[in-house]
Amino acid sequence: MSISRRKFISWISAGCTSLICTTAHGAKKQFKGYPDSFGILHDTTICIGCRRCEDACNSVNNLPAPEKPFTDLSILDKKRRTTTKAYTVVNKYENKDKNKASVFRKSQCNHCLEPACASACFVKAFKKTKEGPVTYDPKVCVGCRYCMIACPFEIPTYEYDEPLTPRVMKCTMCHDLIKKDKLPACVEICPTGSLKFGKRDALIKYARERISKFPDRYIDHIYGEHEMGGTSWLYISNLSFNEMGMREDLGITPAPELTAGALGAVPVVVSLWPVLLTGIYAINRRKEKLAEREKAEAVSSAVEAAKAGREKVSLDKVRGSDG
Amino acid sequence: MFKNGNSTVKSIFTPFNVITGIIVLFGLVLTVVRFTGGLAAVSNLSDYNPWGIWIGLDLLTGVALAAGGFVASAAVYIFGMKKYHAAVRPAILTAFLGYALVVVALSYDVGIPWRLPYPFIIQQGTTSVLFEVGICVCLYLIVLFLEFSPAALEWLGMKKIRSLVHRLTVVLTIFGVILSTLHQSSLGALFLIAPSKLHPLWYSSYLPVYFFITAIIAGLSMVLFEGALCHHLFADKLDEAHKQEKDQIALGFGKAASWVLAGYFATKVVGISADNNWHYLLTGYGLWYLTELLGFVGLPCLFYAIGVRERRLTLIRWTAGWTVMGIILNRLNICIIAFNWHLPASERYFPHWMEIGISVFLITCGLIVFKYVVSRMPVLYSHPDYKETH
Amino acid sequence: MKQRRPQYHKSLVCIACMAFIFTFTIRVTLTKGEQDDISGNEIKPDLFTMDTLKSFGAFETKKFDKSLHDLHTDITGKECNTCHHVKGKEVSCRKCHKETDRKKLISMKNASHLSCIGCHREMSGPVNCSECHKANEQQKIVSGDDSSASTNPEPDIKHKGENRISSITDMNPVLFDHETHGQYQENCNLCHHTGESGSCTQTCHTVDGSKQGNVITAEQAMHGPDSKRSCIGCHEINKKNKECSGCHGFMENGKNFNEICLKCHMDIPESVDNKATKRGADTARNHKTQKPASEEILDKDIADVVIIDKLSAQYGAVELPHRQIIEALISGIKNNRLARHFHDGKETICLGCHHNSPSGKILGCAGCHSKTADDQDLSRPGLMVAYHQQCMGCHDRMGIESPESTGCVDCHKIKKAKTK
Repeated sequence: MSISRRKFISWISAGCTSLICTTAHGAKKQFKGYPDSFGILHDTTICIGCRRCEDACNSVNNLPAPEKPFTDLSILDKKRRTTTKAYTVVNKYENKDKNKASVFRKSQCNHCLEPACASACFVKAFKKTKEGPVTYDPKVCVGCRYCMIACPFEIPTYEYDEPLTPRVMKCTMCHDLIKKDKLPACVEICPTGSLKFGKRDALIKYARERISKFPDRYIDHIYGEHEMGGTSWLYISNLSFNEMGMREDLGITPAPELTAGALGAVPVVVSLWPVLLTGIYAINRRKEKLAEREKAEAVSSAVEAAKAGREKVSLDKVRGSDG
Repeated sequence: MFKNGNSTVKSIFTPFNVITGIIVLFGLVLTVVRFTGGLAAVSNLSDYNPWGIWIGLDLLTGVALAAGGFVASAAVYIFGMKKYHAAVRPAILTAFLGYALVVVALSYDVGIPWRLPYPFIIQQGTTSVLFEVGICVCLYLIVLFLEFSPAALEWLGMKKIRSLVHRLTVVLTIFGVILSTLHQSSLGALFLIAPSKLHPLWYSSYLPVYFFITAIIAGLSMVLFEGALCHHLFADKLDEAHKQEKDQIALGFGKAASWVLAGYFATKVVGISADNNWHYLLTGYGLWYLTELLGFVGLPCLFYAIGVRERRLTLIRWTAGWTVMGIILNRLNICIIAFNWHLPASERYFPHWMEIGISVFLITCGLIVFKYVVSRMPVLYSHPDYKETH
Repeated sequence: MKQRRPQYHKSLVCIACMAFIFTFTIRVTLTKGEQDDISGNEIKPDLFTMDTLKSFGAFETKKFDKSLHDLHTDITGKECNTCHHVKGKEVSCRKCHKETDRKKLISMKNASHLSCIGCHREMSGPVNCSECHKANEQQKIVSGDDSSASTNPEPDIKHKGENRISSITDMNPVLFDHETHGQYQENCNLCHHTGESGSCTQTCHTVDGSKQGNVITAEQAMHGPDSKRSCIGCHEINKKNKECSGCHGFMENGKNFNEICLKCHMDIPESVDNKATKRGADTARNHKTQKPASEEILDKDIADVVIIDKLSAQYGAVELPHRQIIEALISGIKNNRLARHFHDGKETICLGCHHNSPSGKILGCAGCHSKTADDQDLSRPGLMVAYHQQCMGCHDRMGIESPESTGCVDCHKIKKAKTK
């Protein structure tokens, strides 16, 4: 009996080790994005801050018209973020070097190769499509907003004022248009070519070419090439990305990897805990039973001893009376 | 509570009833506002701060403080510490109500609450830690319901079903421990995905471990804290056996809590060293971190030890309360205070008064149910018919 | 300042060393006359000639004769397979490697370059083209004595004599107008950066580079596009002037047309070769009096106004003041002697905007840029972007503030009253 139990435990532990090994091994595989997926390169050095992309985005997504028209450029003086009414916003960043002109940067969903939002969503409402865009399905979204916690770029927004059917709102990279071989609305309208649409690999190659051709015009870094495991949107700039409100401390670990370890521990707990706990329970039960038996034995022996004592006493008495 | 009729008019207007009544009425109004005006109408949640106190306090803290259920039942049924038996039922009741409250609070917080079962029935987002939390909480709620059902069945006098469920005790306890291990730690793992947003002192790859250990601490302390409260509030409900075991429980759980706190303190120090975060300690956040670590982990650890060593029960009970405060602080730190620390003050979150109102309303509801159950069902005392079976 | 200089030079050593391996050797010498000038007391020379880069016109490949083969056998320790890489089949290279690349076999040229130069780099054998390919240079290389070669593990190839031949390139020498350049720089130290008024190439930046010159060769010293002291580097800085950067900012840094080499390395008639000073003065005078060739295009038949209406959808057509733009460009050139020297033909003006036009023909933007962007060549944007980049980019770089980049209607006429 004991041997078979030991065997059983060894099987279980072997199973656990192999599980741990497989999860650890699985984590090593690196996903480099879908081959031939599309991306957009934003060259901030030639962005003029005309807000035409905001305009185009607004109309293609049927978003409500803003308070001030898109031609009003005074709005650029204030820092803005994406909202439920604007999937994309252009912000102005002053160059520290006073002689140089200020820089404009468009911000929107970066469409990560391994999106944090998709990894965080517990109903799979987000999906990284093979074309590149990260899409959102409002039909299944519960509204837990964990995607917003997870997104390192702080992009998704939520319709807090919607009582019944609030949605998470973010740039779709015009997935529908891309599928029809058309350009995303913002790229299509961009008058200066600051936004360039193409295969992500080709864009990276092109960006590198630009940087090496004009070394004094660009910082030698393509933002989005590796950040958070890589994003479909890429940026090149002459102002440091930190100064443009883009975090450079995000690291290159894709978001799913951050929680992979914790999730990998689940099968270990599920398989180890019952064995351990049952074992502990069994040991304690056995202890209790032994204790009870000992107790019973002690009681009975005590009773017997007492009985014997009494008999002895009575015998003595008898003898005494005899003698 | 309020349907007792005219004959008991005097007893209805006790201070407890009046205050809770007002809170409940007010809470119902807020509920209407929440579900007609959307989240924006009652909360300060924003695109930068998608999670507020309903998650930070009601969910994270609620789940942690409800850990007493699995801690107490594991101690008694699995580790065979029969002398702490009196602690089990109140702890399980608190846990059950705690988890039920979490689910209710969640339905206030999520955008479309009737879709809460979607992750289980429509599409399973298995890559999400939240999915793990969800499924564990859901299962554990069922386990807790079954674990508590003997008390309700005894009260209702349904002996057969009661003895059937009673036989499942050990299996349920083991299930409870597994599920608790998983979701208590996963609540910490929720934040693993946001290293860029959580302050490095609080962010650690050990977060799931920290959450699990603190859950045990919270469980132990809550048993003591709530035991002390019950002895004040429901003294008439306690039977002799429970009164006698009370001190045993305080000493035993106090000792355990002291050890676990010491272990937690050590793992925290290891965590800071592993990430080499010492330089953050001298910043503002660092001082706040030290307050949490020394004031709400180190100090209770010491006081528990002193209390147990010198058998000062009052000190142990006060320390239990202090530790519970520490756990709340820890959860709020991770979810709200040290989260989004990089944002300018104008973008930071502070709860709207209506958010606090709804939290208070929910906790009050929990208290009312607790009082209702405790005053009717055999929780603080053993049912005379089933004394031997315990 | 003087203390910091050596450190700066040290940091250049590795760059210089790397470049040393790859660059051709050049020899720049002062002409006799100037050497005299300099040795004479502090007289500034008016003009230098520089004997510079000459391409390896005819290759005379070194014969791999028996002595050379013996030498290599010794160096490799009789490991024939170091070169004859097919074991058991030690045959002549040409047996397999033919004149051109075949399916699996690379050409003789590639094979020998790969294995010879590859090995020479590691063993410090000759790596420069001329050392193997020029007959007279080959004679400078001796294989060691048969007796010593077998005992000496070091590669035994060395140069005969101390001086390398002076002219190994076919490039014309540069006539350097020292006087004029001096006029534009108040500080001699900008070029003479060590503070000594000597020749750059005599002691420091010699053809092969010397320790004194931090192994920066003459070619590098004159052409380095990133150095403020080099000819090209300094001219690059001048291109950043507002008048120049409109066109030049669009072009790649330091990259020039082939023809541009001849602007400095110009033809010098034999007759004046020895009277460089005089000739330089003549050339300089020439520049001063001559009407810049670029101005000639104004007389030609160029459009006064170009109407751009190929894409007018939301906005109306744009009237581009074609002649006015050219006049503005030319006026910028007119006042700048350096610019005048380099802009001597129609192309040099027109290609500023009509970049990439085939030689002899000027194409409009729509000649290359179609309405949609080229999805194969990302550097070729669509027509609208091309227009905007060209106009806005130039205005931006030249500091022309009006019309603003975002002032759509400053250039475009609004089409109807259709406002969005």
